[in-house]
Amino acid sequence: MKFDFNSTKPLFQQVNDEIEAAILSGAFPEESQVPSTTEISKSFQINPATVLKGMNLLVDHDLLEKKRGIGMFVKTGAQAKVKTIRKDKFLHESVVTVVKQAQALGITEAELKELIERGYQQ
Amino acid sequence: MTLTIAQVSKQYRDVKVLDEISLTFEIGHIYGLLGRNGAGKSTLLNIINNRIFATSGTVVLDGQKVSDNEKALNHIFLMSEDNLYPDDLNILKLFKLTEHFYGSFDYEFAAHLVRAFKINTKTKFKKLSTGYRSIAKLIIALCVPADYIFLDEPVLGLDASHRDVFYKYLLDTFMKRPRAFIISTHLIEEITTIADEIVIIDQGAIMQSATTEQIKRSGVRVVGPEASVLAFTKEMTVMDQETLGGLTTIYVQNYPKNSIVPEDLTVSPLTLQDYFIHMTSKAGESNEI
Amino acid sequence: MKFKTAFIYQVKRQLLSLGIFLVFWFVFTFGISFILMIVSKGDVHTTNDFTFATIAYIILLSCMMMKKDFRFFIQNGLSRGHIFLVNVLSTTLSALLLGLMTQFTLHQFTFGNGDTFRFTNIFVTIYKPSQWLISLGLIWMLLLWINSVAILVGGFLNRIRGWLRILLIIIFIISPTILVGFVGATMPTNHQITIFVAQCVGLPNGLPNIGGLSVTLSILILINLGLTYLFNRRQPIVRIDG
Repeated sequence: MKFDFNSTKPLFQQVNDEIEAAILSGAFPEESQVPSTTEISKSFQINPATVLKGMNLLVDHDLLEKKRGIGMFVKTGAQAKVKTIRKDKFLHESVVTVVKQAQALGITEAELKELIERGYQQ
Repeated sequence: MTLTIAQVSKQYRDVKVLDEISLTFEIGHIYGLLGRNGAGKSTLLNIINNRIFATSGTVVLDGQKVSDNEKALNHIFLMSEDNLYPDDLNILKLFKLTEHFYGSFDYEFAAHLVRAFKINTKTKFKKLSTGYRSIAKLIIALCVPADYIFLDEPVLGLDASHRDVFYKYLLDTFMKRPRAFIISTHLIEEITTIADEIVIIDQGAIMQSATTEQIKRSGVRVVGPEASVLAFTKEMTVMDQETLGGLTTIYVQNYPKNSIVPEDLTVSPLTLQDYFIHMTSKAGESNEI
Repeated sequence: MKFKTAFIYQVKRQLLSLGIFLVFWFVFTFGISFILMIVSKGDVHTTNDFTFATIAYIILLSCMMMKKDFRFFIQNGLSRGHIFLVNVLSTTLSALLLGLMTQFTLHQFTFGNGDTFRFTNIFVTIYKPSQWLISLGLIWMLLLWINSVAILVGGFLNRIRGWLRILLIIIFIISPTILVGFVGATMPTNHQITIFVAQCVGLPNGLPNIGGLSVTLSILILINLGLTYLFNRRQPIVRIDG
């Protein structure tokens, strides 16, 4: 996990994103236990309330589940779910931004398409 | 348990060092107390901790006045920049005395810290370097049974890896036994992730008291051509302004969430450090360089 | 908890420094006395006055309390009232021990042919107490009084600064003259003033009267302590390093 403390992205969001990424990559396999709030807080020197907020976001999105007295576990099907979330984000945010920037720089639709095709072929 | 500071002022002859400071500190939070040199941070901490007296106003812990009240003072501890310990005693002896003064002392945690910092508890206080004096005082501050721990420049003289150890153990003990930590520091970047509440003091008055997140959300930098930047920020709270040729940067506080940004402007959020610098800079200070 | 700890801490520290002080003092005085005896081949009569050393020591104790102990106790959450009480109690104890030491040296270290070498105490020499306990009480009270003056001066210098300090010092210096003038106006003759002063210091008609002296000392000690308490009631920590 890596946190950019000078980033303008809220820290709890970064906690959420990093755990999401670990689930996607399989570093935190489904049905396995994720590190506790205490562990994350200590290793990355983040206020426990912030870590908890980020973790609760994952619980709200049905990616983690709390097991009383034991800890947090990755839910079954979480990996696929993260993939869907990220795909959605990519299509609705990243692509829109790229098109906007291309327009500002005067890149035509055809030129952009060609570049994308070339990228896929590599 | 609540510690309330009500309209505390401090005047030295003609100089008003603190001007009607009102604050509350709650258990379960880590507060970052930020302010430029001479802003009045240490004066405030010294008043709360019975070292000096306020000219007016009160410090109250759960309905009890704190000033010269041993019962209330047993819940409050200040690790200060200047040393109040007798320097001919060794660290272990200081632990023992602190235990007797406060009723208990977390020796188990102290042992962890002693090992992590590699400090020799048989060393007399005066034989320690500046950094290790800070460490010795820090260990005591983290192991006393008090509920409000004030740390005035706690990492003074500590190298990067010792600071790292300190922050880790601070969070560790905070999670095991929730207290209120109030940390006054110049190293804003290091405290950004650790503190969940920020208090900014400038010229003896509270400028802002909010959660770290609120503050990070509130401040932005607007960059672009002068006319356009000025028009866009006309209705906003401007903290500071810089010009570089035709390019103008305006630092805004309480940025409205859903503002529509014109094409020729870039709006980017501020780090806590930038926010602090531009909030407490005197008008035009950054332009005079 | 805080009071008890502070008291034990301070007594221990004072005992330790008392021990160090005595060792040094004995080594020093015996060393010199022996050299003198050897040089003079035992022909000389040596007396050694213990008074000044004990006075210097009790003043040193006051300085220690005012500076270091006050800071340490405030760091550990003591109230100023308790700090004052701890100081008074522990010095009372130290002064008593110092008095015992004096008594002990006065009676034990008279050796040689009775007066070849002996320790003296100027007050004992003047007031000639008839009993061991009265002698101890006299020394004890004198030490307490000196200590109370020392902490009062310390408290005064700590709390009163600038022109007010200078003004008060001037008033203090000229006050005896004014007082004598005032008393002179109410009492018919200078002779009566002399009698009054003599009674106060316990030497009416040039004869020692320890009772009179102890009444005066008790009153002075109480006044000094009262004033010191007032000075220290709102004593702040002064920053020394930065």
